[in-house]
Amino acid sequence: MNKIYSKYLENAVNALSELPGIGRKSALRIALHLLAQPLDKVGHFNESIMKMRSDLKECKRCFNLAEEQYCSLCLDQTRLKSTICVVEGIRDVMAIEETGQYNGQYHVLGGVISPIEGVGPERLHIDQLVQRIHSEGIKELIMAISPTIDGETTIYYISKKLEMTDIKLSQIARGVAFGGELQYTDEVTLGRSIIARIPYAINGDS
Amino acid sequence: MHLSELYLTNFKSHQSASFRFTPQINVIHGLNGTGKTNVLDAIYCLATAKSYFGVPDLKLITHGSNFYRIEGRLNRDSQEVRLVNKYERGKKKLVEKNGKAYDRLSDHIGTMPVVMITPDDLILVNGLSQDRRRFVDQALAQTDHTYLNHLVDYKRLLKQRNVVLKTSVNPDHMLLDSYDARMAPSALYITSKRKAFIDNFRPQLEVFYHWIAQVDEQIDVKYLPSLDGKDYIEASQESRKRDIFLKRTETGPHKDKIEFYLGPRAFRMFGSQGQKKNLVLAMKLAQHHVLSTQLHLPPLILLDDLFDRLDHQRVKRLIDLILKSNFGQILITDTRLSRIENILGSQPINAIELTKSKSNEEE
Repeated sequence: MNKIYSKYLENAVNALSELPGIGRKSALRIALHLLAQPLDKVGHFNESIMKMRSDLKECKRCFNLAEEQYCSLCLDQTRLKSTICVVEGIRDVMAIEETGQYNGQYHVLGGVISPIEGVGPERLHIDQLVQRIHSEGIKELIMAISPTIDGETTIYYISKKLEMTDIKLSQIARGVAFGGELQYTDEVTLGRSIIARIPYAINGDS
Repeated sequence: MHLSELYLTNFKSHQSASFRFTPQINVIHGLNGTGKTNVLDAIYCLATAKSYFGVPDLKLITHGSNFYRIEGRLNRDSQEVRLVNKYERGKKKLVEKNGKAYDRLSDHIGTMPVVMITPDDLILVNGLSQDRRRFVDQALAQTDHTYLNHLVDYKRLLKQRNVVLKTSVNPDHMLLDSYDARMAPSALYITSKRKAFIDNFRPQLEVFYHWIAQVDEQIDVKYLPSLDGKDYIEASQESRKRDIFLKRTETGPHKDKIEFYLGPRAFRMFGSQGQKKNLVLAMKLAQHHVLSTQLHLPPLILLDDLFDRLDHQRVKRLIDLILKSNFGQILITDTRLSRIENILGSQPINAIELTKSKSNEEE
């Protein structure tokens, strides 16, 4: 790494290299790029980041990103009110929205249960989910949580909490990737796909 | 099945080394400190993605370097399979088969079955139950991927459950229930497979023990599962209070016991050094036999420091046994070639000499 002669530049490089995926070399490149830009452009850049940071908050209801008290998805009156899709994080909401296949409510847990990493159930938005189910008259819960060991435990824990309710619980299907080839699918996935097979629907979408 | 070529880069004492092996007997000889055992451990790593001696991946890298690479050519079912195990500091360990990396390391285990025999193995008799459980797990993992996956899941869940018990005075019972429910199917599978393994293993152990010891001592092995026929959830509920009090999980396959007996008495306590050496060797040969039968091909035998543990006569009997039956490929390390040559007589062997300088350069 070249020695940086300016304290200001050095500070900027240090700050940039704290970003995920950015090493010191990339940080220097970005810093020098910004230095070469007109002042108002950098000001605008700065402003948009500040605005995002100061004005975005958690939705009071589903913990998705929100500009106001509630997020745009919760405020959307055309969406189905009786179904909640439970996800780990905000990125999962984005991914599911991207598919255009879901038109209900969301609930962002903020992670999965993992005591090793200090994440017990009380650190996640599980109690809030249970409250919502009672107060909003929710009929179905779709668990869209990663099929990892900790993800599965989280699903089980939530289902245990809801044992006394008559809510319909489902989890997203897991199995062979669409367009994938069976011979290249790993054993565990293929094995579970066989066990959790679904009836064939002759008219396409199952 | 046999390993025909092996290339090591920055693996322990071998900065760059290559080896050619023949399908039968290979003897790696050289003075102490020339890296003979490291060659066998490299082969073990290639087969199981782990060091036999439990050395962490980082410590397998030659001092002063930042990666290791093990490449082997395996002839299996009359096809050549190219296997690579590589690890770079700070990255994920990769195992490749014919140039394609496995998504899960567990899918690879069993591609090149091995049985390793080292002087350290006395721990199987003298050590704790966990050492004997590992012996059984090593064998099962190579024949049954489902077993390995259950074992990995179970261990992860157990760790999580123990953290819950350790960190809260008044743990969330619903959370403990959740762990129990997830652990139950794995616990059941592990217990039933271990029982089946011991049942297959017991008669073979007896045969090999008598053959090596040449005396009619009555030996036995018992599997004492923690669950002992009970349902996991029930058993776990029963020990819940105790778990909370002791702050750890007291029930489940991680508490299984495997004990060896000499007549009615525990081998661990009453066996002599010589009897224990015989037992360990018989255990390994029985393991080899069980694996051969289940896989329909004989696993590679890696025999480390043969003469360190056995007297001349026992080595001779072992070699005779290997030559008579279809034991497959064998790699032996010893400090002196002549000892093995004497025993083998006119049998063809592939002798590979390691010297201090040679272990650091191309063969």
